[in-house]
Amino acid sequence: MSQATRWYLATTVLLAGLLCWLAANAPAAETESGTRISILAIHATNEEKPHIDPELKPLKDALTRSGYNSFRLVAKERRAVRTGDTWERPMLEDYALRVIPTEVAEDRVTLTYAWVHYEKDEQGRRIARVLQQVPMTLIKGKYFVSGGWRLKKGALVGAFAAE
Amino acid sequence: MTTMDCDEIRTMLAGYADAELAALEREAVEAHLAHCGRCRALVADQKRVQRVLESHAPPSVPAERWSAMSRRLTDELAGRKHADLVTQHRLDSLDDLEDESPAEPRETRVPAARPGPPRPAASQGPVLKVLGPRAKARRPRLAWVAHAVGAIAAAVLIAVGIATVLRTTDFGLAPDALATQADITIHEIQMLDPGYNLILFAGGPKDIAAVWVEPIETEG
Amino acid sequence: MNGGGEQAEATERQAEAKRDRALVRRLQDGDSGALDDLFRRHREAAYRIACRLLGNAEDALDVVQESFIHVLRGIGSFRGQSSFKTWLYRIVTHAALDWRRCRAVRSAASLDAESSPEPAATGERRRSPTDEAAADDLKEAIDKALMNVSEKNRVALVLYALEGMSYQEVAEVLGISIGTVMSRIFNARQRLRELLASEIG
Repeated sequence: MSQATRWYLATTVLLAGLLCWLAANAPAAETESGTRISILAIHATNEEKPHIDPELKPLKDALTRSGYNSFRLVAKERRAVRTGDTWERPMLEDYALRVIPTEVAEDRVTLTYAWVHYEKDEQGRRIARVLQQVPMTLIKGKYFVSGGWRLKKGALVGAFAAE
Repeated sequence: MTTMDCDEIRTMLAGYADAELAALEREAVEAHLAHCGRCRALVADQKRVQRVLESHAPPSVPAERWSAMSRRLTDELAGRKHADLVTQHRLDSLDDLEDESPAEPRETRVPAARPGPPRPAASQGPVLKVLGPRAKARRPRLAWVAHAVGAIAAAVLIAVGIATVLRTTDFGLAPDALATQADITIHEIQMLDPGYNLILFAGGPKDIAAVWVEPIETEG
Repeated sequence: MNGGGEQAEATERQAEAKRDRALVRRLQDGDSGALDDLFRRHREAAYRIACRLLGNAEDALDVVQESFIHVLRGIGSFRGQSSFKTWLYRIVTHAALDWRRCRAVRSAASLDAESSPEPAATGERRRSPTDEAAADDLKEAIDKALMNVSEKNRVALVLYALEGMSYQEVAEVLGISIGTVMSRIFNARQRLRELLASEIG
């Protein structure tokens, strides 16, 4: 490999790396109107020996209010969502959490979230039933917790934050 | 509007004491204070502490201290200006020497396979030897630009590919902050499932820290 | 604060911000007269913030100087997205808080028994030449008590206690919501009330 090619390759790789890093970390609001949303799916149970996943420790205060004493992080996902788009994230047992950002400001995001439950209607078709719908404004970088949906065992709790 | 309890009112008391609340919130607080002696006492505390704090001014600073500081700052500003001028001068003088480069063959780190502009004639050899590397890097400009464009284009293509994958991957945000009551404003809650009760934690009708549901136990 | 008063204050603030913007532009061009003006206009406020955050006038003056030097270093890239005042107050606040942390590291490293940066219930406040000769007991008590308020709450209260600051402005300086400002100020004053119960009855 000649000197020229090596230099070419090095520059390309470095630039690619830099651009990747920028793309992954730059706030969505800079490239398109939107925001990064993170959603957590948490399984709450009552156990003899209370347990809380280490990642969920910062949310302990809000979680313990549910009346349960153990919390496990079942899923987490972070995604860029454009203003007006709906991100529906499946949770546990046919429940899903929808987040729709409607307005993104410098330090806060106005959005609507909705809990939906998938069921079969009379004809046996799978439909989404909206259980709760809440337009709200949330300061960026902070998790909001909602939930308490009864599962076969324990309950489903969701948390989301916007960046 | 449902009457608010002490917990919900509590953190608005500071705003009430400082007259920083909007009309609606102020009225809500006033309505609560009308029948709550404890919160009235808290408001009085807030006002008293604020008065005490404001009346206690830090020790006055003698004028000489300010003048001395002002002089130090002016020096700092002058120092920066001087530094900027020196740098500029250096850059200027580099440009002057740029055009006079030696014709001797030299080992280049720059890729060979590109059409460079005709190399200027040589003259000041010794000086240029010191500045050699920099002068070399600047000279074949056209080729370098073409090179850079190619690299950027390739990089962009690769980056787009990888970024698309990364963006949709599950790489979670570690929760490091729980929103407090003050960070959340609920505009409206619609509970469409009759099988659940709604429980709001720590909040007035608008500032709520967590929204819970509790299944309504049916008999039988 | 009625509607009329608010209006007048807002206009005053706008005029001040406009004057500051003009001075910043001149300073970016290297005008030392602009530096003098900006310094004269904002040094007292900067000093008050630092003094209340550090509980000590000498350290506060050092922090003010450091902050203005920091301003000079960054003035070239200051784009005026926030007002100069907000920017300066942010710098002073961080400088004051870092100052305390640095002192903590420094004195720990040198096993210096002289100054304890942690809020000490019985720690003596350092005297400085710029202190009034006759120590005001209440002033001392307030300084000591402030040091016992948690940092986040203390900063919000100290900023708000400056003349002419509103919750909105404090929120801008600290980059938090107004609701958070309100709860921090509430908590700070509650804590002070507890600590100063004997002094203010």
